[in-house]
Amino acid sequence: MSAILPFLRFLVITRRYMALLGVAVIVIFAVAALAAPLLFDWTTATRVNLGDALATPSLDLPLGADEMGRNMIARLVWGARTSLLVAGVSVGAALLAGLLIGGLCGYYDNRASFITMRAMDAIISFPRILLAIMLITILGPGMTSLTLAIAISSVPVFARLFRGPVLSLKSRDFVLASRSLGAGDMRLLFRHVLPNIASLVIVQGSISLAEAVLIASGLSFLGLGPQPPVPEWGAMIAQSRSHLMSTPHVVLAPGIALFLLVLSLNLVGDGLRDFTDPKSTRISPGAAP
Amino acid sequence: MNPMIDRRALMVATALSAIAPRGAKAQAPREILTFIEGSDFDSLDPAISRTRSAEILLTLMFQRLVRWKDTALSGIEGDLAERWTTSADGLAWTFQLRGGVRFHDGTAVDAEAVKANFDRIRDPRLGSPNRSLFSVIGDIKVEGPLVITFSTTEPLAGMLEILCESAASINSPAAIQRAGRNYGRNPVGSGPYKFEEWTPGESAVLTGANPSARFRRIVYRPVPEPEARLIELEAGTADIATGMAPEAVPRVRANPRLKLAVIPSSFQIFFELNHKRPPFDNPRLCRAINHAIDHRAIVERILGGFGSVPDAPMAPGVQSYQPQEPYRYDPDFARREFAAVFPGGFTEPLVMWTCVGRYLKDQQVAEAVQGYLNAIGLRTEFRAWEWASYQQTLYRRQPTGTGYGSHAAHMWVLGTSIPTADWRLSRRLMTGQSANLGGYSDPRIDALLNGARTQLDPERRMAAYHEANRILWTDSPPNLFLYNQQQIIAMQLGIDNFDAFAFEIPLLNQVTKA
Repeated sequence: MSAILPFLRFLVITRRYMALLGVAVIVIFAVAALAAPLLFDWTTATRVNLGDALATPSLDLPLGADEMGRNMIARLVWGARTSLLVAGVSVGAALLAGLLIGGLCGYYDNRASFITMRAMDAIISFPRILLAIMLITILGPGMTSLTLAIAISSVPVFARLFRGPVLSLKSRDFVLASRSLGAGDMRLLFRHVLPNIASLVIVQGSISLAEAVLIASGLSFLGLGPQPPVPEWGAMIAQSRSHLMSTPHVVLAPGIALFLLVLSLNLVGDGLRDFTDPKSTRISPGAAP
Repeated sequence: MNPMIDRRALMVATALSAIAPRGAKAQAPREILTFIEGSDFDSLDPAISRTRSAEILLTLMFQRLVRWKDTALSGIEGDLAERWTTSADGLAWTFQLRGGVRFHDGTAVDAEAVKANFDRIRDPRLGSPNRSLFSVIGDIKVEGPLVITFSTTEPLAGMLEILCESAASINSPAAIQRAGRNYGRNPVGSGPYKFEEWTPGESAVLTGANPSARFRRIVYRPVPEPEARLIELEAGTADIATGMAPEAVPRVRANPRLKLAVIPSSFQIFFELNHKRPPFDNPRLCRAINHAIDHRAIVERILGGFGSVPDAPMAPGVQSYQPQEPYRYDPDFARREFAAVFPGGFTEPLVMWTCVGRYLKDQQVAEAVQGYLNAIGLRTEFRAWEWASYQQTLYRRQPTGTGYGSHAAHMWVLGTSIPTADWRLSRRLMTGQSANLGGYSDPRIDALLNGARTQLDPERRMAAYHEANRILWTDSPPNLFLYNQQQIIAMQLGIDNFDAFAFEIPLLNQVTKA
């Protein structure tokens, strides 16, 4: 938390206004997602009212209604909750698992870690979306299996990414120094090695979050996500895409929301990378010298 | 020679040479009809296929003993059979075949060939999904080169209707022998068109085989997305496209080069109910749930008016259809009925399954139904499936499937287009039938359908079906009825004489192309 203010200051000083905008968008979406039950109750988001089917935006329905007459803005807000929840939990779990596997396999360079890393390579050789589809086919569609599928398909990426730095850090002088003072393996790994790749974790985490949001809505588009009536952006796009020509707002609303969230997560990820990179002297184009 | 004339002759010659190839080009597409639909098919073996899209091609490639006279199903006429007689006791049907008919491979269509076909489909080793349809026929005897007799143990009123089914198509026994397991991809019949090639997922091509073929070629292509089908029509790369989305209709109407045909369909779409578990083991609640949903709103708002509110347990156009009073939308009544049977409320979640993209707006309608059921205080769990895995799961006997009413789901979306009363009703609703997934069982229905089967007097037979329909609608409904489908078909302006059976089989050889 305490790193947020310096980060924002960094963005302002280096004139990374796009990243700042990204932060703002993410904050808005996150607040909306958290406050969804206060803003619109569940029945507003799911009540079918065919009389309002495909209603255009009005005072009562600021973003109109979908083809089942459900309030679009309520569905959008609850959809943000679904997307952020699925992406957040899956990336968080995958990060932890990846950190553990990557850290252990990097720290102990033995046969077991060799086998584990080759297993990770085997998983990574599947296209991610295909792997996720296979997992969901086994588990059955739903929010839990969607989260699990995204998490499992991201673990190898993290594990491989984190193993390298651990491998190089463990032979660094400060680690050797602690070892000579009698520190055990676990203490070395968790107190001295892993904290040094924290910045990598944060940057990769924020970029993976964008990817997870996209994959989650892609899978929901295919009908593999949370089952109706749970609102989900990908599923909303899938259902209303045939109305693109006649009543575009039902497709554009979830589409634009998805676009904004993914773009913002990427922008913030870029900003974080520059922020955490000690060698970064880059100042965004057009900045004063 | 006058140079003027010479020059003029040259001009004419040039003009002719410019026109000639263009004329020839315009001629070629006129001889080829391109038809696009949403789905590919499983097999072109009439005995094996269970997809309706295959039937479109089977009717072009094959002949049957008898066939429906017209799309109104006003009567049955001979196809391969020239005439037929029934014995006095109604137990034997003798067919006299037309002479001189040959399969596309040159072998003769004779009584032996017909017998071989029916023996094949009734052989359990073939595993035909249509076997039970023909198992009611007892002995088949060849009486002469072109005379064949079908006998039954009891009078079979629906004999001719059964023989009209596409599964009753007559294949060349020699071709079946030759192709073996690959017969489904090398079908040989005696119809106006013969099979040329089929690349699954891409296209199937038939070529004209005799003078009754209007086109040199008929090309069938599966194009899954309705939007993509419309674009093909707009681009002129297809002549006829079925299954247009209601929201695409204004675009078709606005296009001066396209036209639209809306043809009634015998498809009725419903949630089949699980009659072996509460709450739908109680007919009272089966009636109540039909009052919980607003059929009119579904038809008008979701289907864009391209459908009709069900007013009988079958769609108009099905044999024995009689309109009855549609269910009134009365959610309070439904809620009270549930409260009366389950005083504390029915607390178990209702598990609802739906397929996606098989029927017009299936998932959307199912979601709307979920909304209506939630509104009367029922808890629901929703599960949407892609068609292929849905179909497999439904017919599974394990706890993961419907298990014929004993497991898993409380209700699942299905549709049926069968136009004949007996097969339509008995297949899903008679006790113990293999397609009776909901475990529906009513002794009155069993007795009525069994009685009608052997009733040779057409009026008394229909009366039995009418009575069964009344019970199925007002007393003990097997389904939560949703809507009757309509066929929304778009085509190029130059296509004329397009007609289709209500069971969604277009008659492509009748079409004319300008």
